[in-house]
Amino acid sequence: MENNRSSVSYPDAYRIYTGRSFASGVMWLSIGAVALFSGLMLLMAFLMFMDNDNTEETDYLFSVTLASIYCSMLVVMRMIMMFDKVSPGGKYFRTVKGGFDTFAKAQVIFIAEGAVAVMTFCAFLAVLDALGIIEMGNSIGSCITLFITVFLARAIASFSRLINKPMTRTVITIMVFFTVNMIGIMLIETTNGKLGAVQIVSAAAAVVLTVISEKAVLSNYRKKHWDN
Amino acid sequence: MENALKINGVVKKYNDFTLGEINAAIPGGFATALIGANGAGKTTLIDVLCGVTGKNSGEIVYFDKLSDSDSNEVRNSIGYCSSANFFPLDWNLKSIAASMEIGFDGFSRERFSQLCKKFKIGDPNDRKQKKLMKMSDGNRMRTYLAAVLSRDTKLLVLDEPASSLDPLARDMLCDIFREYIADGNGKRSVLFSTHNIADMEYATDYAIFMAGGKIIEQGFVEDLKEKYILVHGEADKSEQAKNLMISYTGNSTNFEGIALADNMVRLSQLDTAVEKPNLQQLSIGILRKAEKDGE
Repeated sequence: MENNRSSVSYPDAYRIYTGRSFASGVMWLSIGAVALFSGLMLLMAFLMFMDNDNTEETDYLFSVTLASIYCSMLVVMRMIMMFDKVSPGGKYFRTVKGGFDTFAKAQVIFIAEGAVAVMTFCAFLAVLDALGIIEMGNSIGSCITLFITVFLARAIASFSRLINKPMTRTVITIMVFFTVNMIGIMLIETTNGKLGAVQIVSAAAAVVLTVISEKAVLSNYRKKHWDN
Repeated sequence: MENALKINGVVKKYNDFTLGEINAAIPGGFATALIGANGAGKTTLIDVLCGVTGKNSGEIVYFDKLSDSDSNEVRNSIGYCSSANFFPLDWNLKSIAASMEIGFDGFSRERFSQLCKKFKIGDPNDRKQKKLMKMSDGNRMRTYLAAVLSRDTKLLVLDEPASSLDPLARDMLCDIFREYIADGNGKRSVLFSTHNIADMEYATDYAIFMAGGKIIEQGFVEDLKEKYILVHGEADKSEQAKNLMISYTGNSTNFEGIALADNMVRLSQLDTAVEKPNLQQLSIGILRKAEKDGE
């Protein structure tokens, strides 16, 4: 792929594509996730209060599973946005300064947005764990594993954007997130959140696969959708 | 006279439709209407001209000097907007301003605010903002127009700007075109597609007629009104008159249609009434002929 020639900075590309600043976007995304998660935790607490048979192990699994679903949602929302010509805003985005190169920058900053939002959410989980509201085992390690798992799933699922059929694309994305997250949850459970070689290798794989998949997707998107 | 756009042999192929080969010159300092039936290729041509869609072959020269539709100079000079969902539907006036002031050089927040007030769609500085998805189609179109007119451009390219506007707003749109062109001292031009020919005639200097992906007629409206005539007559002369006309409709008592002015003398001999057509009558005649030729 050619070098990006857009004179628009990454945060400005974010602003063009969302109509708000990067800081404001991340803040609202994090607040939304934290608020939704808190609401669900309250519901869970109420259900637990009604059901006295619940064990500590199910609490632990439930917390981690729920957290991984929320983290996945934070990154998948932007990933599935295709900005096609027929989508609202699709034609507008094709006319702004920098054109496709600005779009490419926006795609990169969207990954950063997801990363910051997941980190903020994980920090919130760690606080809940410290307060004894949820059970996360080694909370910092669990959060880091969760973060790596979600971004590894994103990197793999991102290849599905090379597929034209929306239904196939969606099914593959869900399957990839489900499988990788399940493995991540099992890893957290078996290691009690302690970090090891698996996490390091997974993190490296997530970075490498993200770079490869984004380049492949952008190149394919330009040829098949942007200019077509 | 400078051309706003010079289109040389542009072709865009889809599986089921081909635009072109298009050759045309959009004169600078005037308002040009793209007229054609649904599926004639107006939107495709506009998209190609504005760099929204790539072309398979041909060349477009902007303002007699630029040919790269991907360059920022061209992007900043052209104020383009489509008729449907030009912005994401969860945006409001504030987000549009935030995006456009970075997306284009020469966007004025102050002008945007003034135009929003003029079009009665709110104020981008208000704390409470209405999202586009909650606006009526007409107000959405007004928002797109306010946004595009807030930029310092040399050419406005609008796809069906009048379609969702009420008659008063259409009248205002004509005035806006006139003001835009007048403020540019001959350096600004407007290109728009429309089905509301009668309402937009006042704002149209030059017309391009399209059918089946090709340009079938083009010229200054006043010249076209000299080239063609509107013919009325009684039904008993219709068969003879028909052969001299490019389009024809009739019933048991009378007929009407468009003919080339060159045939005026021969048509007058058939006791027909001849008059200057308006743009609407001219368009129907030219498009009807294209439809007939295509069958």
